[in-house]
Amino acid sequence: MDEFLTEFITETKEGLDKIGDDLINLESHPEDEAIIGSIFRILHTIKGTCGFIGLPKLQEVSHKGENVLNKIREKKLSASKDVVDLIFECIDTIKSIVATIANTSLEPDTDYSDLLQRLDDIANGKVEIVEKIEKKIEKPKHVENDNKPIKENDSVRVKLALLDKLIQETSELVLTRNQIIQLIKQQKLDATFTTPLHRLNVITSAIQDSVMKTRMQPISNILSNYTRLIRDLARDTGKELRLEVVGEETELDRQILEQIKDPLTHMIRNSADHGIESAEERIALGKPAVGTIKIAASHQAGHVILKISDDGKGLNYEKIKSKVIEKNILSGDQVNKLSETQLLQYIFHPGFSTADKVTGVSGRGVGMDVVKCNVENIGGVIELQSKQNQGTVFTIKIPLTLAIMQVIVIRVQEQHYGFPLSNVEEIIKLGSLSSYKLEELNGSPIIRIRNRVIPLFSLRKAFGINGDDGKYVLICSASNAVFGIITDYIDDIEEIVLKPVSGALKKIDKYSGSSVLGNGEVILVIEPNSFVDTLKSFTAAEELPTLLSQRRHEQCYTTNLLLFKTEENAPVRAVPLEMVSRLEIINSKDIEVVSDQMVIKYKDTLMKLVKFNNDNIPTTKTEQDVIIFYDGKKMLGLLVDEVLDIKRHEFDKKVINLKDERFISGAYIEDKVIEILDISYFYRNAFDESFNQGNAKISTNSKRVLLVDDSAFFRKFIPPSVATLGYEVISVDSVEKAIELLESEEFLAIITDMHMPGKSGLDLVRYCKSLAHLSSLPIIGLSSFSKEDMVRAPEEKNFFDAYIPKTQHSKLLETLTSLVANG
Amino acid sequence: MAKVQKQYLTFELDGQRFAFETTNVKDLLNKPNIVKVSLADADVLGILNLRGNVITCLDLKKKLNASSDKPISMMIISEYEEFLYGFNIDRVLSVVNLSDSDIQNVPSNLNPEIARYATGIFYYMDNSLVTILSQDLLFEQYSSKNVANLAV
Repeated sequence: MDEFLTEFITETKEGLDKIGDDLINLESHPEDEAIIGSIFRILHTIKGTCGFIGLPKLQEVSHKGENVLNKIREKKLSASKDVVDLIFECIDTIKSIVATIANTSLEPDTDYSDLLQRLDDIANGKVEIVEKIEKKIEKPKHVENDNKPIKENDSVRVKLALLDKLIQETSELVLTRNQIIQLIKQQKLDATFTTPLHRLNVITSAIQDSVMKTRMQPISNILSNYTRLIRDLARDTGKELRLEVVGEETELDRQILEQIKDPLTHMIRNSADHGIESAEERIALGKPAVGTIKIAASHQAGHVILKISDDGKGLNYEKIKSKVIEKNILSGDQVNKLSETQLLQYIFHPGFSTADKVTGVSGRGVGMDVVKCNVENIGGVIELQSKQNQGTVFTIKIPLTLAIMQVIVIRVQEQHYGFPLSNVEEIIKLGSLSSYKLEELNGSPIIRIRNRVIPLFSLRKAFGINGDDGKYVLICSASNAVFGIITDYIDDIEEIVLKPVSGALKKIDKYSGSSVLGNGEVILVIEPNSFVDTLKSFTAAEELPTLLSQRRHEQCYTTNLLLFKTEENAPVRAVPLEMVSRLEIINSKDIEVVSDQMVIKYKDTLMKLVKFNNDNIPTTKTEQDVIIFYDGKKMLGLLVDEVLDIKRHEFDKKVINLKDERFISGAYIEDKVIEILDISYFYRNAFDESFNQGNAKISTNSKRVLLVDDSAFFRKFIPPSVATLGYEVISVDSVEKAIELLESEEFLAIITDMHMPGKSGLDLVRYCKSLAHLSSLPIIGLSSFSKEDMVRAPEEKNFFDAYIPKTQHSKLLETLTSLVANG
Repeated sequence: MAKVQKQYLTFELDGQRFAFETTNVKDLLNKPNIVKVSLADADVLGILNLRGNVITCLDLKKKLNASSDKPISMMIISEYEEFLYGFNIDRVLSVVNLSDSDIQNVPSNLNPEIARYATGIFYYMDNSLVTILSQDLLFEQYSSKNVANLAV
């Protein structure tokens, strides 16, 4: 096409956009001379150039439009709503003519005489002006524009392809610069090299910034379309709508802006059509009559966040459910097990729409899956939240820089791969020493993190490589799903330029592209979304919650055990790590024997030392391992032959009760029974007192605490620590027995387990609260969750004065102390 | 009247001689360091880095049903639809200029696996037979216009 014509088309389109903006402003400021002047000038220019090129129809339409504006300018005509509507129609007509010219180089055949006539009529005052604008003239806000020079002259037009190339090359420059910086660090270069290299570094960063800016445009560039859109939507739906824009100066890459325009339009239409209620409905609900659709744009850590929200009626979960069933996506049972968040995801299913009527405004539900596609194409993610009668929020997160991305470099079978850092939430190491273990649910590997069940995928298996899986797991999120990727090793984080894979590899959905690392190594970059589809078949969403709650009730008490050998040939024994104060190595020459008791000078005090077999003969070794315990008042050192390991252990309800009072119980660790030492026994021996302070008699001791737990293990496990505070702990194994005891004895506090055969901890609370003399008794509930799970503990926790994990001794003591003190 | 001549790069592969038109041949690479790509088709040898560009290496020997047990010693790098690809060959001979009249039709008894990519034959200076292969035909299955290539 003729280059001049192309120029004309581009400029005219821009001009028309500007007129659109101006017209909206004109409606609210109908006497604003600057706005009127701007519209007039643009129409005038279009008309003039048409004549020059030879586009008679376009010339005619713009000429008539110009006339109307002229009359307004001369104050012979006021910019009423009808007039503005007509000018909008004129603009739209010009737009469609230009579109035809752009496609065919010729004007369309359409006859515009009706429009032309109406424009003439208005210009000549043949139409009654219904509204005379009687508004008070506010000082128009646009007056300042008169003094500003027109911006057009301080910019140039550059071909997009050239800018793209510039960005590509700048990205390579940045990466090469990164390599050089690496080399500088590794080698000792003298100042003749390092100074110019550092300068190169600074300049490269500056170039990168500036080049990125060339493609950045403020989002306000496309937002102007939406003001017009809202206006039209209000008219079409008969509802009252307003658009609120926040952060319109937020800048986005031009290409992204282009891609995001349609999705945004669709979402706004949806909000207007299906979200916002009619004015009457809103008033009846106590909402303002005018519905607000808000677009908020902001930057956040290398991403642009776009939030499109409305204060309408929100998504109807019931309708979504029935649509999902109707479309045979899930069965009725399956659907009912979904959480609200999971249910919302089905909006993005192709062909989905809960709209009862197909309106002209937003049409049938072809939209949201396309929106999601478009967003993901530019590397973004979309999420949604909705509250009945309050509204809906869509959040789109788009990466700022297209070219450079950060990846975690991982290794599988000696080969490196890249994984997008933006998709990685956490990195976990599996293994016996770590808190996280590989478990199985329905035959698929999972891992449990903070009470969430996360499905795992092995990269080895995904790539078809034989061998055992590694121990590192990347916890990732993609398309609103969370899952883990098992890899052999995690190496580093690198910035790369992602390049698309060639046609020969494109069909492999696991790769999003390839790149070259700083050291020249070529890697493939993994596409996180490729795992999401497998997820759906892995565990049907509905099963997860049920399976999860089942697991909870299976009660895992876990705690860390310190494993050691008391003598060289003794079996491995253990002590709960929580009770251990320190591990030390002492010189056996420093051990003294005083009145048959071994002691050693330790941190300004004399610490008693004991051995498991209770003899007073210090070992012959020069260096002696000591496990030091501290009950809050006294330290005691246990001499051991060797400290071995720390193992996390899960106690199930079946514990092995040992007759030897030196032990709390036995535990099965790796198929061996390991005896767990009862430290209070050793304290009793060493200090001729129990680990408890105070008197042993039940009835006279006023500092008593009642412990209710059906587990024998915990009845032995918990009292020693509570006793360190000077309380006497009375333990019973059921709520029924506790209630019996409460009738005759007095306690300062109750510590109770939750789930027991017979009455539960909750029942006990209720009982106490119902009796006047017990209602203010502090009750601590013990949970079998780990401390991380506390945030999501069940509602029951609110009935208790405190709710603490069973194995958290220190927390328990703290809480007990404060509760009793505040009594 | 000047005869229109085109350039052809002749090379040897498994004892046989072939030629490519040089138009989209970009480079020759000695002893390439190829990284395998899991899940790729059998005729993809892997990828490698050439001056910052990622080259997809294709097994030309496999495509032509030649034996490919020898280690890869040389690759011809060509461009197709803005991507760079490599073909594994044994050794390069030379670049020759040929006009249409120098090229003869593909004989009917030519191995079918080779014939499907062959566009003609000519005689090399030592009178050995050289089969001209069309890169377009070799690349066709990887074209972006081929919908089957898109990840579903």
